[in-house]
Amino acid sequence: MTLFRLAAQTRDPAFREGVRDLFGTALGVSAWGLVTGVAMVKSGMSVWLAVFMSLAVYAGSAQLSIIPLLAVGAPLWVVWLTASCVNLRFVIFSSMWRAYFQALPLRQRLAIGYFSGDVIFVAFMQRYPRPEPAPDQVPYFWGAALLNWLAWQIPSIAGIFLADAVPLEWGLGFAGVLALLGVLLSLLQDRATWVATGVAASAALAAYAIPLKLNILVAIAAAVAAGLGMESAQRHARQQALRRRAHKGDGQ
Amino acid sequence: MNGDSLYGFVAVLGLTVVTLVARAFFMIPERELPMPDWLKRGLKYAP
Repeated sequence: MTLFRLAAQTRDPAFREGVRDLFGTALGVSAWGLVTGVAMVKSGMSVWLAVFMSLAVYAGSAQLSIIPLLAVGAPLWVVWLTASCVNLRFVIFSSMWRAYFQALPLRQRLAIGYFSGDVIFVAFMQRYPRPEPAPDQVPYFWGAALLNWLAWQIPSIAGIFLADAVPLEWGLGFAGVLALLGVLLSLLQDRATWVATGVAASAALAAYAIPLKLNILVAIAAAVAAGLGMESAQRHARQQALRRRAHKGDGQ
Repeated sequence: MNGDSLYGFVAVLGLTVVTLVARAFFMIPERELPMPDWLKRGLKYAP
């Protein structure tokens, strides 16, 4: 994706929509970015390695999970495996991205994948709830991706340089949790989703002891099962209601 | 570059690949991977 093409995207009105839609979560994203930047340097990482990691890896939860591993010089395969496990939810998201962008050339698909994240995923799914391609999706995506990238990288790199000055007691991680909570609440559209959320939350908490954040995968599996279960239960109930109404009509 | 910073540098390179592959995973193959309908619907709840 050359810079020329990116510059052309900015002219499309959907680009500005993408930028605007990501404003809401920008504060939470920035808080997380700042926390991650500070954490990297506080663990003993050199400033330049931290900047390189922030710009290249661009994955907050993965970065946070491997910081202690790098600090003690853990074997590289452990570092990479841990990051892969933490990033597994993105693998699932990518199957949804596919529905919109599969027709694009490979390099664009890779670029889109790389710059996508939890927050962009949610915003995009809300804007385009039907899993089919449309022409304004690409500029919308890049508008959203640009804002999200800036909202993350600027505070993260600032945090890296200010690490000695910012006290960790500020609890900025809490702000990040609040942002994700806001995003979650906007996703809860129907009862099946509420039930799935409840099941997922309990499963995640119950499985907390499982290392490498695999409890997130357990929660995902539980949520999928619960959602499908609710859907079939609702369908069954609707069929029952229809049958009852049909019988009443006959009885008259 | 001493051993320590080489370790960090290589770690970050690998991590970048991890990010890219994880996030673009299902978009990498050209052809559609066969997925049963129930799985497609179920994945909606994953986020």
